[in-house]
Amino acid sequence: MADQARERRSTRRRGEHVVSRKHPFGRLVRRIPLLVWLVLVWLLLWGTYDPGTVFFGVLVGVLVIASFPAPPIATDIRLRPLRLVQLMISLAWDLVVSTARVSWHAVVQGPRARAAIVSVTLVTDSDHLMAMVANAVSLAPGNFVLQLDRGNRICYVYALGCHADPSARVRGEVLAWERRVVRAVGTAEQVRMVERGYRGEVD
Amino acid sequence: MGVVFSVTFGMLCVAGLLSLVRLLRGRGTLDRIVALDVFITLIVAATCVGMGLNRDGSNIALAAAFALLAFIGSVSAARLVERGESHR
Amino acid sequence: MNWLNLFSAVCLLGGAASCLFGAIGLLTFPDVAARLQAATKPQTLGLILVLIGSAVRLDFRDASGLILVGLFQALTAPVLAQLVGRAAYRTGSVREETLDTDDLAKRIERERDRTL
Repeated sequence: MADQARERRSTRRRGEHVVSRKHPFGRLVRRIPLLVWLVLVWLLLWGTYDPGTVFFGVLVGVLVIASFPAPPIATDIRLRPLRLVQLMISLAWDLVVSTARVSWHAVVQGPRARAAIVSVTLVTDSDHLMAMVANAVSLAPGNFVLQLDRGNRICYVYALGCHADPSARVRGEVLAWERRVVRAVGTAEQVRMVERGYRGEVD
Repeated sequence: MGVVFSVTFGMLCVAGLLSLVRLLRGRGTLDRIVALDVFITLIVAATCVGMGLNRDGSNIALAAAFALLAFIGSVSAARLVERGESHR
Repeated sequence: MNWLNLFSAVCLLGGAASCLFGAIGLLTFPDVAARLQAATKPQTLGLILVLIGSAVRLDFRDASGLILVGLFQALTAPVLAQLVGRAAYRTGSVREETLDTDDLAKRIERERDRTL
């Protein structure tokens, strides 16, 4: 029920993020993930994990958050750890494959390499998902996102390598990434949208 | 193991030389930005290989700072290029 | 211990080779956007492999910092690719004769026609 309400609100505002000024405590709570991340970086940099380091890490983290206020963002993200691990494995695997392919192109084709710029319309409509999909695509085989059209959910993807039909191939790859990302962090509604879109693609 | 480290350093040095060639030949500011970013990444990689060779991790903060600074520098340079050219 | 050394050697050599191929691509590819491909992906993989290869030879206290370096690289490389790629496209550094299709140019043309 709460999910649906949040879903409705987020679609009405088209991903605009709401800053709740009424509850200062709520704002503080929302910053906790950022604080945890900062303390983690601090600990990794020091390389020691005793209470003193943690204490100063929290101190520095609070200081940084207080002195460089970033707008708190409300995310509609659901983490699914297993799917997230799957996403990371496929990202790592794709990094290896893409490196082999780009190296092959560099040595064999070199100056005669061909490329294409393809527009891909995403299925879901969310700021964070779009950013994550764009990042995943930019890390994956020979492609990167040249331009985003947030309003119309269009990614313009630059793809390296000659193929008979670059548009269809790139579109399929980007939508596959979207499906993986949404399965890892999307809401139930978004997962349904993606699965529906995927089945439509296959039929 | 010594041979492995020599070969690794050798390959990284050749890669660094190739990226320096691109940096000097350029053709455009963006080419040079990309080449410089690659060069800095290679420096970070070589620093880490050196740490592995000596089994001494005291330069890790340096490597992390270099990786971040390279990113910030390249981003700001790329933005400057974009703005400068669009005035024409 | 020997297996660990072998693993480390494979990672180090693979990473360095990946970096080397990236640098070769940087020289041979025809325009900025293609060179960017050679720069971002093989360099990222190369650095991460080299980090893994070095990390197994360090004690845990030091190795944790290397995770951070790899994470920074993996997070920032796509962002840099997107920014530089966009700047290259806007300044006309992407050579049109290497492109098979260009949907972005078509759209820009369409919108120009509409405003005229």
